Amino acid sequence: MKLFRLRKINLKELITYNFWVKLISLILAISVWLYVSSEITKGVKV
Amino acid sequence: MFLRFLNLKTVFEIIILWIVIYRVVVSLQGTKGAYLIRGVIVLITSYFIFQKLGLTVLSWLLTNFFAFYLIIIVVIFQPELREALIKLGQRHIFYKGLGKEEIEKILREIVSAVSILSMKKTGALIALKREMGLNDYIESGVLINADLTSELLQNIFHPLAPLHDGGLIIDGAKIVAASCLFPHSESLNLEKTLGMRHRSGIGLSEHSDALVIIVSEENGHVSLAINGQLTGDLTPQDLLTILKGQLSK
Repeated sequence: MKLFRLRKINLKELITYNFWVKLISLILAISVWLYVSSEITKGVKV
Repeated sequence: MFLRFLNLKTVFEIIILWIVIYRVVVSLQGTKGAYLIRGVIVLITSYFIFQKLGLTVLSWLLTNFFAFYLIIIVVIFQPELREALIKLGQRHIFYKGLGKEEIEKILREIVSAVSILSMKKTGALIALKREMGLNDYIESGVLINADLTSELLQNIFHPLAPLHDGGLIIDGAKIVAASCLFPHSESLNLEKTLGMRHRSGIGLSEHSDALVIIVSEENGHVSLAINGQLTGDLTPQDLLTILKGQLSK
């Protein structure tokens, strides 16, 4: 029971700790991926 | 449009990119490099907006300026980039920090020094680095890079020692620098009775994720600043318990 509680808290902290930095990093990662993959697709078409 | 590409490989690529970007942003927080990240975000956002609006001249200018920007980044942030590459070589990519036993050993040394300093009413300001970089503050002080021991901590904060003024920074099992300048807290909610040492401790904890221990030279009281919040009048046992809890996260 104790172990289960400990895990629950850690998961919550994993998400909430530095939340905004994590969110901005995810947005940046998706933007970079979209840009690079579109550039690669362009290259293949040419 | 994005959903069209969504598959397991894409998700894996994005997660890897996310981890790399997150690690870079976290290690640059609290340093000059934070402005670099802001600059990159502004440039990328502007580029997408210009592309969407069909502003070809501005897009062209931005694309060409971006190449210059990369060169400027390498020149200006050469020391930070060098340090990051060295760290990448030294540590595992998914480096999580010290082991439990190592943390306990370090904390015992710190708490032992703090309780002696408190008994002698010797002022002290000790910052424990966590994820965020403290390079700007380290550069403001005197580099030490010595193994952490209770005796060395007491020696540094001895009132007649040349490095006793200012803050001391600990990174893992090393005393990185002493006599460092920490930013003062600008919070209006602080007690008027708090001195400059406490304000500096709270200030650093507001600007970074560091844990800051403050020993008052007036009454020997031990306080701990975390995320801009000050917990005062701690016993050595309280301090050890809180630090253990914070560092084992």
